[in-house]
Amino acid sequence: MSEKILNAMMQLFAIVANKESLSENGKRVVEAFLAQLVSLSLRKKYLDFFNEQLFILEGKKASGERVKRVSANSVKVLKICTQINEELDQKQKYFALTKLIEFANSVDDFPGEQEREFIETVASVFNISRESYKLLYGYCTAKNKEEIPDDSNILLVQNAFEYSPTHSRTKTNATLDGTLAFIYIPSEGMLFVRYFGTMDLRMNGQSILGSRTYVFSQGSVIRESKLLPVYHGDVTKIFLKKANNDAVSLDVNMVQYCFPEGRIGLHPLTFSANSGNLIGIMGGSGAGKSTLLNILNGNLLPKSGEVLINGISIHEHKNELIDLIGYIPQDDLLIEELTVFQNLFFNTKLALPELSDDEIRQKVHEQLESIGLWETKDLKVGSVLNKTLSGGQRKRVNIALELIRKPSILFIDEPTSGLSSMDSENVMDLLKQLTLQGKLIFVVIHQPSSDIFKLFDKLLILDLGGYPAYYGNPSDSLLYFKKVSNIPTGDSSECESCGNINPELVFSIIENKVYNEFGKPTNQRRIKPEEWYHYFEDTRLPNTVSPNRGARPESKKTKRRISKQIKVFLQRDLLSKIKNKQYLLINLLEAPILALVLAWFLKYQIPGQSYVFQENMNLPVFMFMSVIVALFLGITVSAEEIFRDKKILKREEFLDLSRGGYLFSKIVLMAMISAIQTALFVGIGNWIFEINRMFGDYWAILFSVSLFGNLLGLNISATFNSAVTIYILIPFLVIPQIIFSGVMVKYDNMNPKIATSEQVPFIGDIMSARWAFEALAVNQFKNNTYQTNFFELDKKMADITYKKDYWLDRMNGKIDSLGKCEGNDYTRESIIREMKKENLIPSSIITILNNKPSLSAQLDISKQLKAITKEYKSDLIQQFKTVKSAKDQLINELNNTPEKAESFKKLKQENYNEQLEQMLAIPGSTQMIVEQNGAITRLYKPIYMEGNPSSFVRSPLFVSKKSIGGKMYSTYSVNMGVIWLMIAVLTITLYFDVWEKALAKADKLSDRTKIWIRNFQK
Amino acid sequence: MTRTIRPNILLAIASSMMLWSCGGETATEKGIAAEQTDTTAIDEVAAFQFSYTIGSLPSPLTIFDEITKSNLEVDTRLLNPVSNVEKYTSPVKQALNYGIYGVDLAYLVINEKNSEIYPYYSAAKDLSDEIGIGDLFEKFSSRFKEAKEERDTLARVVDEAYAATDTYLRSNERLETASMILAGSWLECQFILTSQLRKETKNPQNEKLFSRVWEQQVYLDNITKALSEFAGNKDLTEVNKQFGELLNMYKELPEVDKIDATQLNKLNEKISSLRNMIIG
Repeated sequence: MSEKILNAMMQLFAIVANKESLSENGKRVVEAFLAQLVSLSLRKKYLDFFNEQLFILEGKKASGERVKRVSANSVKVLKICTQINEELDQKQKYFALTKLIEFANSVDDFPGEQEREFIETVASVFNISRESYKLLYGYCTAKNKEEIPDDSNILLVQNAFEYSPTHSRTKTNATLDGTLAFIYIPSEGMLFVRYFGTMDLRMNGQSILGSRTYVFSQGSVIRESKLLPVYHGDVTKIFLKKANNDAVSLDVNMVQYCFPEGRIGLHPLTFSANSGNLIGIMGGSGAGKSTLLNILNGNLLPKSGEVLINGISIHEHKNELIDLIGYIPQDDLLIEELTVFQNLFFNTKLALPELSDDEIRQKVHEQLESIGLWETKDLKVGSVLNKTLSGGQRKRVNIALELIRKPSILFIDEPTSGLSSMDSENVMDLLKQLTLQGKLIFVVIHQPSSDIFKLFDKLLILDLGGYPAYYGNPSDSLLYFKKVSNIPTGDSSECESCGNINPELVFSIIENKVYNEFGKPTNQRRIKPEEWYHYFEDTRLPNTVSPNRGARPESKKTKRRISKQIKVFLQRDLLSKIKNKQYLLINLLEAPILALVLAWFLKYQIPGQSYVFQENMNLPVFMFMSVIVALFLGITVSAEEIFRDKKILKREEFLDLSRGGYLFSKIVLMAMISAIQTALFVGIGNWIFEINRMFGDYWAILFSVSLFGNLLGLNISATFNSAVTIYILIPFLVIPQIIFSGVMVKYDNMNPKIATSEQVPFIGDIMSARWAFEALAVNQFKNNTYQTNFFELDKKMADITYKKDYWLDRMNGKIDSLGKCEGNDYTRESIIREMKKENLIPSSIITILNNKPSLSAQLDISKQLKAITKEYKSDLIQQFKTVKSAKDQLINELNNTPEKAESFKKLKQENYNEQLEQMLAIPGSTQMIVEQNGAITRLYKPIYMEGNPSSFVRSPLFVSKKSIGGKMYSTYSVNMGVIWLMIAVLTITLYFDVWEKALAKADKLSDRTKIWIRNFQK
Repeated sequence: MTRTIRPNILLAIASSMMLWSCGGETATEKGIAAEQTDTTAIDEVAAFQFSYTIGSLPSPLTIFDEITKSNLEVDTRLLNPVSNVEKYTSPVKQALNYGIYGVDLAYLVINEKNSEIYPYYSAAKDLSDEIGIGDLFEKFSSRFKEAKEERDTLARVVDEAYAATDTYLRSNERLETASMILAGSWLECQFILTSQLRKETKNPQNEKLFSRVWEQQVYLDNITKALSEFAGNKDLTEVNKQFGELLNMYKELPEVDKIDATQLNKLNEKISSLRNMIIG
């Protein structure tokens, strides 16, 4: 309690006291109150303050009128209580109220009306209902057991009952002399105790005085040497018996688990548990605690046995039971960029889609209040390093995420790891409180303190290798192990003087080592895990739980709407990204800065002259780098996305959320970011580079590549489980895109094993960068405002030139060899095939050639064919002249006035690029033509070529049109289609988790191989 | 990024050179023929009348060699600036200036102005692309690059390239383009010769160059005739007319040994004005 509150309390005491002479008893109450809260030195200070207040009030009383004084004091009480209200939680307020009642009662045997009014005011300001207050007042002021009110929230413990109260609960304890009276505050799950009797009872080592009211806190035990101890758990259970309508039972029947590689993870285990219990799972490292927890919650499938919740197998009917189960892994599941409230809000939206936003808001507020996090609701969660919440608060928010669904069974993995002892106790208190409200909670815990240890209702101890060693009351565990290992023992588990239990002791007995002749411990254990397991199995009571005793859980499931989930996922992600200023800034600035650097440095101009786009020899580099930047941005922005969410996803499995919805929202968000990034990049890059009227074309391609990068990044982030692996992997994904794009290294300059001249090799075809760059380059060359005028004419000229200068030349060579008697089948077939394509060979000649003509006939045919090719050539020459003169005429028209000539020159300078033409209109090698199996393939000026109609999409690099099912489409559209096809493929692999499954399979295979090798060696 | 533009440019220049060099140098022709069978489909050397008209045209390389030997000052300012290449959008200007740049390139090679060779090669290459002989020009690129700064090898490559492009055009019945290239080359060669010679007084060393000027009327006659074949091309009308006037001036020249600075100046002025019209 803060100084302010203590001061306030002292003032309240003074107002209530209000006596000319304060009885000694009253002072003692104040002292006792202070003794519980402050150190000895401060106690005096507050007592002085109390006396001072008393004195002031007395003075006023003397001079003022009674009515005035009452109203003045009422106002004061209100003021003080409001202040207390702000700082104390409800439990503390109850405590303060009991102390106030007790004090008033001690001041005067029968507190006056005024005092009672004051206390009533205090209670109502504290939001304590009139009924509760009355009951509490009656309870606190009772002089003997008969005066204790008869109410269902009262429990009387006696050795015998001569009469049975109408409402109050009763419990007999034969060893108790006198009466223990408990009062239960249901709203807070809080207990107070009073004792009327003569025994020297001690609660947690402290004496219980007759006339006082004590808080009977969690884990408390009341003892006396002759008394059968009274446990907190036992008392609460009596109160909760009827309150809990949602009772669940969990039965574990001979559950055994094996790891994928065959090792046993858990030996057959049988036990039962039901609502209202806090069950601790303890064991050394590697004992299989978390494994057990994951079997119980249905995440892991046991090899044999079954886990039944209300008689229904969790592994067979997980969907039916999923609403009943909550799982809180050890890791933090919060979205760091969001506030506590937002974390809970979005989580609730996903978990309970049927609620409206207002209902959710209210629910979250209630939840926050109930777990004491109201004040932190607007704090950003922050990272573990950049703390705004304490460890305990973070853990409580994590727990709240699950609680909001109101699951009946909670599985919690190491909730106290990494927390201070105070935080640990807070968290465990919260859990205990939840069990008091009827939940069944399993907690994996490593080294609990004595206080925490005592909170558990049951304890399950696992020994190394997954051997169950104990299941039962924690307090009895020590005795059990001592007994089994024949260690001399008293009849008490706790320390006689302080009442503490040392859980360490349990483990030191379990792991007790055999000592050698020098008195030193050896590595050998006195009792092996198997042996503990046998004792456990031998002493275990048969599972008395009937398999179907619980009611079938009510399915709270409502139809989940994927579209709604997508919306929530998107909102949540978007908000967390916007809140992360660093992320936002980097992502928004990255693309423009790269564009600026790239475009500015690559903006070549002839020294001393102004910039002319036509002469910028770096255009292809710029385009290629743009593609790589887009790809890289795409990958990096998404590479951590799913990986970062993995833990959250694992927990959200229990919310029965759609994976497709989650992935879709991720893709949409990534696409949004990529769209903005690429738009900024193209906007700035093209502006600096002075690329005219191509914004849309560039953006569409770069955005597609970036989206491909997003999908690639999402795939790796879904596959791998460490950020380092992911970032190491990025170069492996990007570098091949650079090398195999056909830009840095031409395909025919690569290793001859993959190099092909006729079309892009397969390795190039699976690189999105190659499709993107090709699309950009071809589109830029073909569709710029200058070239569009001439492209078709240039194409015709190139086609004619190819046939005239290269193809005919090659054919003439073949025809010559036919005439020189060198013609074999190959030459004949080749001549027929090639000349047929151009309709140059009469069928009569084909027939003769097919019939293996004589030498003289061949010579004759050779002459005929020569005549045909000569004629064809002169025809081609004429065709060329026609097209050339058409082009000349077009150019003349565009230049026939000086103004036109000037604008034509400008048009060319601003749109056409020499280096690009160099790249596209000149083949990759000096070869213009290639022959394979008698078929001649053109390599001459690929930009003026069209892909082979019979080969789907594939073609040489930089052709202007490509075939899809025999129909020709522009390279730009086809390549765009291919990139989107790749995106679709990656979406499918992402959705079906193909890579992760493949990795798991590979892992399994390697494990099997290892086992096989081991067996083989044996 | 690979850079393959440069070789193409070299070829363009080379091809204009070739036109000049074809003056009866059988060895060169053989070289070209060999080149063609290697690389292109130019299978026949068309024996047109045209080829006879320029058969005895002396190569610019020969003339420039003689200029060098006469110890005339090398003046690269006389050449057509490469920046002009952007202006040549019409096919007539492209062909004429392709010839001009070829000669300029030859002049630079002979005089070993190595630092300036590349831009001219580039300019010629650009024009060769426009004319539609870029592929052929490109084929000489690697040889041009390999020749590095060896004057004689470079000169041979340029010579062969221009001859090859000329032959190609003729075999593809593009005589108009070939004639214009030839006209351009002749004009540029005469421009450089007369511009340099007019500052000199006749002496035994440069005497041969004076007679070279006198000899040109025969070749000019052939060129004018060739150009007149394409009178239908309106863009050529003014060029034809001016060439005709120039021919008349040549015809009015006195005997070869009586040619002097005054006549040279007159010729040079006419040539300059015609050239300015073409390169402008």
